[in-house]
Amino acid sequence: MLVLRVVRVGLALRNQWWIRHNADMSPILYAVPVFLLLIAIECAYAWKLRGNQTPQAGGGVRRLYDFADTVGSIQIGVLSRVAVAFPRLLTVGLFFLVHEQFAVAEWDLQNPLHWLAALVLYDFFYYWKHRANHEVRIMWAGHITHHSSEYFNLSTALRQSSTTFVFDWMFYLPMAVMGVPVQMFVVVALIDLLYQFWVHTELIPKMGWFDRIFVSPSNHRVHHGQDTYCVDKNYGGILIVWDRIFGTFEEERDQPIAYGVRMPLQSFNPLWGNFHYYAAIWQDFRVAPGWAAKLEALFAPPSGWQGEKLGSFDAAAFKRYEVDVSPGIQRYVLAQHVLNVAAMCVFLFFFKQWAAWQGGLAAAWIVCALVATTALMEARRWGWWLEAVRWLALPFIAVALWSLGTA
Amino acid sequence: MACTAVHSSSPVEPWYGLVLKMTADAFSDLGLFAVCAGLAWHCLSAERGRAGIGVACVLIGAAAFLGVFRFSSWPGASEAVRGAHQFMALVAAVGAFPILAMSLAEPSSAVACRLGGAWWVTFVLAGLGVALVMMGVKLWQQAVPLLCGLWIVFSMATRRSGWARWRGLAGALCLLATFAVALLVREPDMLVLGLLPKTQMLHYLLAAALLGTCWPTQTPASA
Repeated sequence: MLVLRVVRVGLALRNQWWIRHNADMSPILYAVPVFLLLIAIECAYAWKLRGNQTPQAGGGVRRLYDFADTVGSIQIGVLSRVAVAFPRLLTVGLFFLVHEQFAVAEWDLQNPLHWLAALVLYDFFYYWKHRANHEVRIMWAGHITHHSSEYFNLSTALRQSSTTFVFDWMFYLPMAVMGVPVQMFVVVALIDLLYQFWVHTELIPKMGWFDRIFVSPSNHRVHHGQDTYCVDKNYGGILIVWDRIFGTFEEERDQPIAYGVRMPLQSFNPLWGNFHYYAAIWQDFRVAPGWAAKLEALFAPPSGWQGEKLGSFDAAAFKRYEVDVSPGIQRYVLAQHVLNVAAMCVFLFFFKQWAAWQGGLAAAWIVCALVATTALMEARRWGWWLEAVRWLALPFIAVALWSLGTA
Repeated sequence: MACTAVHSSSPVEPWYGLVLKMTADAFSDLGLFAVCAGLAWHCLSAERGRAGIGVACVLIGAAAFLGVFRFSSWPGASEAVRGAHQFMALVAAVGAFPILAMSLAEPSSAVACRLGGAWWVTFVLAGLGVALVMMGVKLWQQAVPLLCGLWIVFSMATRRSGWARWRGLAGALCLLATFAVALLVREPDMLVLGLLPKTQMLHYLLAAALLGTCWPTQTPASA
């Protein structure tokens, strides 16, 4: 009953004018080509400038861009866009409902100072959301997806979780109570998100005074590192001053950083990338004796209350997850990857016109495509079977989407 | 009218002028706030290991603090904080009471002892509670505190001994009485048992409940 109610409220909110307006904008849809172009430029620049090589933690050199990692990151990004299209109606809708019922003031959409204040306020709550995503296991289970790449380039920025929406919206409810209109909230959230794209690069060095006020590539490299001094540092979205205020700032040191997490993913499968840590939590939850211990399994910090589970890190012994993909498979995967991105754009464009079951069907096909493509990169035989099934199913799905009526 | 007169004759409001404009409802919320602030201060002090109770008191105290403004006849204050007070009251109902009940039931658990554990459990429970209430499951706001009250009665009866048990039980019963008043008495100005209006009775009963159940005890609760 409760689930049905939630779905009903979500669908009702879909008809609110502001949701339709926002869906029509589909800003991420328009940003996709820009993101991909910038990734291509960074990749080309990395080859031209440094031969795609950079010093490695522990000595030697390593690649800046890796084919499988880049494709894997973008595929995870595609999955996240498809997955969050459904609950977004609900989570932004909750902001709207709280604003309607509890707002203490109405901010002026015509006043630039109000927009600036809303952006700073959003960035403040983003800091705490991001910090919680690192310091609470059940939230880290979603956010770990973003950190699971062992490379650090613009494609890493697109490696977004499909499950963090479960808790993220809670952090911004105080803004609704303060009276920030939902249109203002959606726009400043987008600005904050888009800003964070460019800081995922190794090619931009330290930036002097800028590094001390704003989140910059240098600050964010530390955030993605698994070296001990990097863990749980630099959470800011646009402003790094929050980290300075709350004691989580760490400046980049003059040594190569090892990127990734201490519990390596060792896979390119986007579903496993999103759910592997939940599986680990479930194991702990299952064996924990009593409700208090079960709650601890969910809410303790990933590194333990005293950092006891963090362990030591040997940069010299660190080895990245790499697979040998034959040139033929690479070409096929690249072609499928381009089609998957195109399928995501079609999905985002038509999503609002489809009935819920049609959206679900389209999403399921895209998920199959992503899983099959990444399985081929890992040389798994069942990847070919899944490829065959999803291509055979495509005509039937196309008929269902465009011939059986819409919402 | 009196507000207008004061404002027109004196641009700066003297502090005692504000106090004089506090209603009895506002005073009752001030009393609840004072109790919460005292308990929170004690529980969140270093090495106390009572973070769960501290977090619960902070949330209930924040709602009470906003209530002081809402129920005072200070110019514009009531309307300005009405939404914030209602929101914090909702958060306290669906977030603070569960962590209070957990902390009293398992005082040695990480959720009860550690600020991080207590805060994030409360945060998530409050968020989910707000979502459910916003989506029309209004009963959640009443059912959660009621069930927590029953759990606290059970905890006081089974996990404490001696004087601490009786004090805790009295507090827990005050808590149940608070919820009974909230559920059964409709009008805010209606006298409860011929003693106090509903709003004031709620605040005083809740303050008594917190003092009874959360006052530090020399008898250590079993781990």
